[in-house]
Amino acid sequence: MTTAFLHAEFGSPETAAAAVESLVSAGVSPGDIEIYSRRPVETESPLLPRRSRMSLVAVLSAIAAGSGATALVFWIQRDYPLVTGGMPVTSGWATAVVTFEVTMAGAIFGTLCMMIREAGLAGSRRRAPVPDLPDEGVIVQLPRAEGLAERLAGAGALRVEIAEPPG
Amino acid sequence: MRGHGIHGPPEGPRRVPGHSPAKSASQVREEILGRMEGRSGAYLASVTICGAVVAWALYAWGYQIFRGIGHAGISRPVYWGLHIVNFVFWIGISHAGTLISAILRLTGAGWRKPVTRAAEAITVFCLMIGGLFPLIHIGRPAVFFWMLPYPNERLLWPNFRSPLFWDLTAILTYLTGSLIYLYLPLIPDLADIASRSDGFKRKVYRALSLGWTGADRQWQALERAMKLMAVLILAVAVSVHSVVAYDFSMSVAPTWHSTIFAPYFVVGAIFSGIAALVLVMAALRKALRLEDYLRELHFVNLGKLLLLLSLVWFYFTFSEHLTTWYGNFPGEMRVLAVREHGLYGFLFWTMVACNFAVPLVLLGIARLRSIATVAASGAAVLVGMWLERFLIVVPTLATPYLPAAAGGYAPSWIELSITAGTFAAMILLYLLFVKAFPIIAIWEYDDGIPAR
Repeated sequence: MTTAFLHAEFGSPETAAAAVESLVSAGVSPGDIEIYSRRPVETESPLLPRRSRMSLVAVLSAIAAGSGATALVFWIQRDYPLVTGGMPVTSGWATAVVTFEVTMAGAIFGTLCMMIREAGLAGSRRRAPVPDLPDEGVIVQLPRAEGLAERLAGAGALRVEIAEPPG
Repeated sequence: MRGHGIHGPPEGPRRVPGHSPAKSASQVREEILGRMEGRSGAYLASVTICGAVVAWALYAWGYQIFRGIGHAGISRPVYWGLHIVNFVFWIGISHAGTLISAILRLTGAGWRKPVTRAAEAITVFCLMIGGLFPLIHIGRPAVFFWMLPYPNERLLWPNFRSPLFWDLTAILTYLTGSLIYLYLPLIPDLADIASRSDGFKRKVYRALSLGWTGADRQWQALERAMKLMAVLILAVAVSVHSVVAYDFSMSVAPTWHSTIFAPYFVVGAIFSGIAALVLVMAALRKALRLEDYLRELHFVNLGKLLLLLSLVWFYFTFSEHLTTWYGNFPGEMRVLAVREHGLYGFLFWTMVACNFAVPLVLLGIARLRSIATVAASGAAVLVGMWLERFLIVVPTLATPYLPAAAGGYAPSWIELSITAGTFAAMILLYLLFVKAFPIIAIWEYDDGIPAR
């Protein structure tokens, strides 16, 4: 079953924030609300807090890439022993730079992948329609339900529209 | 715009006290996107001239590949000439962008907004140019892939203990990270451009924007990613120039085998990076009429940073030379003599004047500090830092420990052409970039800009 959505345009982030607060206090799940704007809506604390695993994934990717690179280097050095400048065949000192750089590369790719995933970019399927963004205002989107359009209008929305889901 | 959270107290929009916005966010958007349109005669002439110089440099490189590396000016004992000088110079400048941008982003410096993208673009272009020099220098670029650790039929692996291999990993990581660091905050602006375009242009920008819609979850993800990337890129940036310094300090050559080379190189890199940044900003301000965005405040702030780094650079240079002089080791003293009073003496004292005296006077005296003097200091520092790279590479190789092996070095037309080509390539890449992408992050101007 497809659900229609409501798009409410607010003239400023402050009125949009007040409307979101009112919706949440009226029992609308924050997970159902989305805010669209041309510029980030900066608030003291996130208007719609979302869990993120970006840092965790960055750290895990760093560990995986770093240990993988170190293991590869050590294996290769044992597989093809190459004596350089009197150093031991396997040496932590001489491998440290490679380990560090690949660790960082792992963290960078982990961050990029999570950014794309958490932002729903690059081909993620949308379940909600995308509104046309106003130059200055903010659009609050939520699934259509009885009484919500009136509540949004009462909270200062400049206009409230019904939008059909994509497809 | 600073509003309030669900549970926080209401708070009005953030405004600069005593100022009303001179331009709204929409006006800023229109202006910056407007700067991408139109191609003036001067612009086309600049592209043509730079393109011609780059084409000549490519011809010179092709000649070197076809005829052999012996046609470059390098020969025994100076095996590292202008190619390596330019490599170190461009990799050093690349620190401008990402490092400055990351520091300003992490410290929440409000004045960073018009500076960061210009700086990040410098990093990417300089790394692209600098990263080419090892390829040019090896003479046979077709065998470059031998550096990569891949299972091959001859069971050969690269030597992981070689600083040259460290270079490869460090530069590739830094280039990748810098590209991502430049690209991520471009995404909202790319979506904005796509929404105003049509036809093929719209398709390209839409594809590049990866389906950005301006949803809150996207803004939150972008902010998180940028904070993480800023931390990561800072660490990588410092490591990259340390690794470039290891190329020198790991070899037992007079004046190179020094423990302070890594921090010395990092300081020099940031120093030359900021110099390049102020010069690019001054050029952009003039060419794209960005006076309302790149204000005197930005130049003065960066000028103070440039002055600080000039002092730090002088401190490192003094320490390095004093230690060498006091040690009185014959091999190193010969290099010191030829560098300070001999064949390269003029270049040495020009370097000191450009890197220390000029910034000290122009930026140290408060009433002399202006956009013009900051840009002039930047230009002087770039000359000085290029000379510094030359003076690190050539005198040491020309004056080895074994006096009988001493020799000279004169760059060939190939090396000079390629050097000129890299400067032209930098300008060309920038010229193309400013017409394809907004040079200032539009979405960061959430409050417009205040009146002066």
